[in-house]
Amino acid sequence: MLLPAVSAGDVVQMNQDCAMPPTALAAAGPPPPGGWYRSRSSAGLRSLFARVARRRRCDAARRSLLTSGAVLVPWLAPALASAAGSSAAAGPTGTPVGGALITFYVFGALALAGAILTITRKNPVSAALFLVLTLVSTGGIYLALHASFLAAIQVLVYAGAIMVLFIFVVMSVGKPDDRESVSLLAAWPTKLLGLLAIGALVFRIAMVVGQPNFAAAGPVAAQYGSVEQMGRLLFSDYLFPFEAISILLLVAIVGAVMVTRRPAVEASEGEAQR
Amino acid sequence: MIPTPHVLILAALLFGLGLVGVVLRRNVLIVLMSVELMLNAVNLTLVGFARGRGEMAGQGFTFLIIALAAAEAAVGLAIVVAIFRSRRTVNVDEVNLMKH
Repeated sequence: MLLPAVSAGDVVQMNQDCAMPPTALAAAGPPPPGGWYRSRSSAGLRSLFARVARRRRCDAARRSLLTSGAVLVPWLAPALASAAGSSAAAGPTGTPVGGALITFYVFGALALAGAILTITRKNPVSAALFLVLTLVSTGGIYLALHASFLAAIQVLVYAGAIMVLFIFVVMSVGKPDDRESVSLLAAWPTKLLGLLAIGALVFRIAMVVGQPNFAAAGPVAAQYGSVEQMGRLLFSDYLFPFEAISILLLVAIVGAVMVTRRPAVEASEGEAQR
Repeated sequence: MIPTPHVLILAALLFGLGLVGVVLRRNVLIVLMSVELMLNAVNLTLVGFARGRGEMAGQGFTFLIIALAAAEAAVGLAIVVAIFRSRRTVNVDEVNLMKH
């Protein structure tokens, strides 16, 4: 069973639902002589500002609802259908078959929502926190895929260490960039090319995924994905990559310290001033 | 049982979203976060395949990629801090010293 793609009809329907009804425009009343921008009276200006602010809030909320809804609704629909169908059936051992599937769909929806919000937030702190949501949800999916050790590592290293590093840097350098929304259309041919490449990539992945030669996932051993199995794998077959990645981590730490170190001249000047 | 194609579709969507973030956003911190999102999607693909084939190799790769992501984040954020110290900006469009 494959997920349906986001159909154009859904989006059009949502656009029509979200469109401002003509009565709302009529209720705003006729513009004052000379138009809204020319009106000199403070009452007119105030109502204009209020209207613009309200419109902007509405638009932002509507847009984020539209984008997440357009992805999430087709994603969740088969999940609920299959959950309803399979939760009644019980496996040979008595455990419900749909448990892992329900976990996967719930965490998958959370991960998608977090990803959408990560790339749309203007404030880097919000983006980082929504990225934490995505990373923790991915950890939940790992659990559903019988990768328990990786789930723990995902939460500890990714959602813990790496994101704490991000939050530290965001707090020390990042302020919300006001010019960003303006520059969304800057260099648009490059961005259009990039978006086309993304579309081609996702289309190609969808074509490969649609082919039926993926074997159905069978049952695995109880020890699959445990710390013991991961340890055996990393210290036998993958011993060399394991050691190489530890050297890489050491080099990265030294490099990070060197890059962020203040230049010697500046440091000595600072001491001289003190 | 989770069908492998479902995992792959979810990973492809996450990867595409990360790529959109890299292409469209100009704040270097959010660009780095989108790169993390793409790495995460690749990890999800590997774990999905490992589960589908019943092998552990994909999980070993994922472990190594997580360590790699930690190194990448450390160096990338160090570069961001250094650029912010010298140029007072986190906008990738304004870091164009080599251009002129």
